[in-house]
Amino acid sequence: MSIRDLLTKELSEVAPLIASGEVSPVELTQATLDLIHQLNPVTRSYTNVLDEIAMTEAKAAEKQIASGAYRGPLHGISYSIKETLATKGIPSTAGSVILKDYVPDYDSTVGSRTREAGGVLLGKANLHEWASGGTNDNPHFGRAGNSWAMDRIPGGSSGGSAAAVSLGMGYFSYGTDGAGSVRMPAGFCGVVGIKGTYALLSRYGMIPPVGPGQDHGPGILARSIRDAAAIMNAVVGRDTRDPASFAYDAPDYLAALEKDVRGMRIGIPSNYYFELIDPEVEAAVRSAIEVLAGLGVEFEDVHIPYIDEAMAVSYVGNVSEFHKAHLRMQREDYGDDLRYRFMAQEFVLAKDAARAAKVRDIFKASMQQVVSKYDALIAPTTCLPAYPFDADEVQIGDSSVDIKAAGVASEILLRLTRPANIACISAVSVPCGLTSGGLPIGLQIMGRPLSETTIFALGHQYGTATGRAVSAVPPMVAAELA
Amino acid sequence: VPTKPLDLPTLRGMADAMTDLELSDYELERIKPYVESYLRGMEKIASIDLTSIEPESLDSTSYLK
Repeated sequence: MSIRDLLTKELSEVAPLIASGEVSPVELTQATLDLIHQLNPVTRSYTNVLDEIAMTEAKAAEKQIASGAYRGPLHGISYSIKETLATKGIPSTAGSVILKDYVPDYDSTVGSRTREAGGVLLGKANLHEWASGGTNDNPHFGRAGNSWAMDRIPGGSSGGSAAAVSLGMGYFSYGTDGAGSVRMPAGFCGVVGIKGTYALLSRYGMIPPVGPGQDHGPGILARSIRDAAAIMNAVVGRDTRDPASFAYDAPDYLAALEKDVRGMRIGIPSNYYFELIDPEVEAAVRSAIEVLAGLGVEFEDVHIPYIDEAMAVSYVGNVSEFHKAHLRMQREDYGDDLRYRFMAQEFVLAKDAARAAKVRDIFKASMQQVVSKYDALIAPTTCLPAYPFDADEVQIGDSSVDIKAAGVASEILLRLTRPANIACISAVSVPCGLTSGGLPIGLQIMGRPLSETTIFALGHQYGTATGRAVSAVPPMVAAELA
Repeated sequence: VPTKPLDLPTLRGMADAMTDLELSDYELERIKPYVESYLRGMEKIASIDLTSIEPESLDSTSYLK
């Protein structure tokens, strides 16, 4: 097997080869950088490729491993970080020209912990401007293409991260998820996306910082649940720099992957999640349910209270003071969709914002009560597959949707992922097949807070049963590496 | 579709009352769909009796205790 053959493998397969000295982190990193330089002019998955830093870190890892100081499965493994996570000494722009010259003097906690685990940073990943949308049609850094069809959206906001992982341009990536920004692009690009329980992954280093109670934090994009579990083992843990971080005796996420799923009870939402859905997406998810049933999992229909109401006001009163200030100083530096969406929040009455927040709280408590009765809930990650950037209209079942109308793209793209953020629960998206047109479909598994081991076990064992435990290789990179 | 679409003079009146941002007619036209969406959302939740929800039933952080 050549070094290029390893670029699209799981880190879990590559890490033992690095640990044993059979594979050189330096050669592997150089091969990855070569692939990035081949593909990125077209894919625009990366905004900033850090050749020098990557090679320095790879050389250090190789030296440490050769001296017997192997740190674990991330040692010598390359990865990327989304632009909304701070990287010390490296521009961290949040995908906006407003921060084009911002160079933090600190690392995000997930970044620093990955560095301590021996990870090799390849660069910063493209995103939807300010991590506030789902198309990744970034007016400043360009469109990051979908790894399976470059003319289609990769999803967002962590679209560059998802496409990079899918295309072998790094073994994993840190995105951020405040409404589905990790799971949705994972679904569209055929990789795994993790949104941990609220503040389980430290939010220190998010740009701009997130407020208390807002379930918006780092998430993981990886090629398998197994890889994500290895990453979780390295980065989960209390962080006093995030006020919401909490003391928690974290489990061994890798060890839990094989836990018995027989007899687990899963709720299938009887309202909302399957009401506006592409038939091929629904068929794939129903098929996944049958596979899990074959593994001994039991299913029951469940009604989700207040979800329509909470989603109808999910944006009301939800814009940060950071943006309010910048809209006054430099509104021309926002892309059109964000500029007008954010400015519209000026029209929200305080009493309405309070009422909307209360309704979201009611839904949050209701959703947590529902998931507490089950081991997990299961649903599609998105209600449609990735659509072309230039589409004016998309078809979802019997409905034609004017996708270019103000606010509609975000509403549609994040429709099935945002509820888990409002409810502050754990959730994962795993690949569950391709459409007849060859586009990935995501299966979303949602669990109680701190039930990551359960949803990981379900996702992993579903993947193993279907031959989808590791992300499929898109034709574009398969041809490149052939 | 909002039950009562906003017209520009109404939106201008709202802007004058609620924000110090100086907004052109062009900007108001672009903002309008988002404001209509906000108003539709509020209409959707208008019938929920918030006083009927017991505060203790809203505790969603029990997993941290």
